Amino acid sequence: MSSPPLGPTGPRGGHQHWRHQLGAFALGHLDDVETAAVRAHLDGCASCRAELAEIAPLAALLDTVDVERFAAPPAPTPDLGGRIRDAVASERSLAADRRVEDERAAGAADADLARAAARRRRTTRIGLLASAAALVVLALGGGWLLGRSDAPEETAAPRPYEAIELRDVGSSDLRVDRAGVVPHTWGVELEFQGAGFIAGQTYRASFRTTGTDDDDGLDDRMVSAGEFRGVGGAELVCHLQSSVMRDDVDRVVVTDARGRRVLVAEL
Amino acid sequence: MAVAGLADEEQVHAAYLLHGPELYRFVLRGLGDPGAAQDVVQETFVKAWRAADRYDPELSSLRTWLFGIARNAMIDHARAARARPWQGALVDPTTVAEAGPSVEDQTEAVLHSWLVEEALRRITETHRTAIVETHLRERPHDEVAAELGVPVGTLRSRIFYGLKALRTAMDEMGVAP
Repeated sequence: MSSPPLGPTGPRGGHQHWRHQLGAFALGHLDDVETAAVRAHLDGCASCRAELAEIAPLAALLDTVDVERFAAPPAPTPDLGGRIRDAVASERSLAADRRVEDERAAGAADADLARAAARRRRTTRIGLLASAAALVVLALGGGWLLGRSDAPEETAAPRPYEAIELRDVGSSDLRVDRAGVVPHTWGVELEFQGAGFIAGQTYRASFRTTGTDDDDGLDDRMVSAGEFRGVGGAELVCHLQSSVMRDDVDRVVVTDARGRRVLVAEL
Repeated sequence: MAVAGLADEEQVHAAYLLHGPELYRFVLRGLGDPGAAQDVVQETFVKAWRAADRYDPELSSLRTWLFGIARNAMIDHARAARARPWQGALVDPTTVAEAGPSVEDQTEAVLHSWLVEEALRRITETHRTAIVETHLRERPHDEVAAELGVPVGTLRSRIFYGLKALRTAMDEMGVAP
């Protein structure tokens, strides 16, 4: 790069003058004569060598910067913050509901020792799930556990199980071996066993609530039952829990990471 | 879970306003897909909220912690994208598994490139202009100096102090070049 005479930022030939050339030197902006002069100063100046060592690695990094992209940085859509707030709010309210149910279940246990003993036996089983997640994915072939450790306890009543037909509505190669919903006092649970969920991809399950309906298929009737992560060809067993009650839902939908429906069951 | 300013959705939202756009640019750089980048950013904040009781402000800043979560979520996403079924049918599974470290290597390269850009946004306008015009836009020093109305020597000292400020900004952001 051509360069005019050096400016008077310090006495020409003085330490400060050469120090101020180090940036242009590190970036390769100086011509041969200036480069040789800076090198000569560096040979005899340890502090300039130290400062150069500090800034020299930046040259290669700056070369990776695209100036147009830098000038116009991309921004997320304006509603992303709101979506995040809503996602946290809905999960937090679900967790709060579960805590209340836990406390009620604990009170019932104190009142009836026999029932408490029965629940302890069940809790051993539930505890395996609860210790890992409110949303639990048990992958038979090894896999992932997501979620939190506040899954609600069972009530003492026998556990009803309603088999459902969870149909593959995507063009994927999902296999569902069995599926059902379990009504609880705190909400409804979807259970299913299957395989073919893309490894590492996050899937989400939702229940559709009955009630006012403009039949436009919008999400305002969908209530999350949590999410799970695919484990490829390995078989997985999922327990996905929602705060809506069994009588208030008429459909369950599983969507993939892009929001496309992959499994649907009418209830 | 009332820890570290992520106790509820309002605090999470406030954290998003502070760090979200920067996280988005980071993840977008890595994934190249705006939709996927927004999914990963959302996942990052929800995961951070879920794990807020494990965050220790004495060990790292909230920003650094969020970037750690985002980085892992991005790597997971990139790996999942590579493990699509049609690829699984065509590629030997060990090859897919071996792609793991290279995803991480790519992420490191992305991280450094992104980091210098973000650091460049943090230094003063005077320093930034000197570096952007002379280096990124490759303009001659005399031309830039004339446009700014300063001697070339002043422009050069701005480049020098600008690089020092850039280095400091990168160090403060937690990664040295």
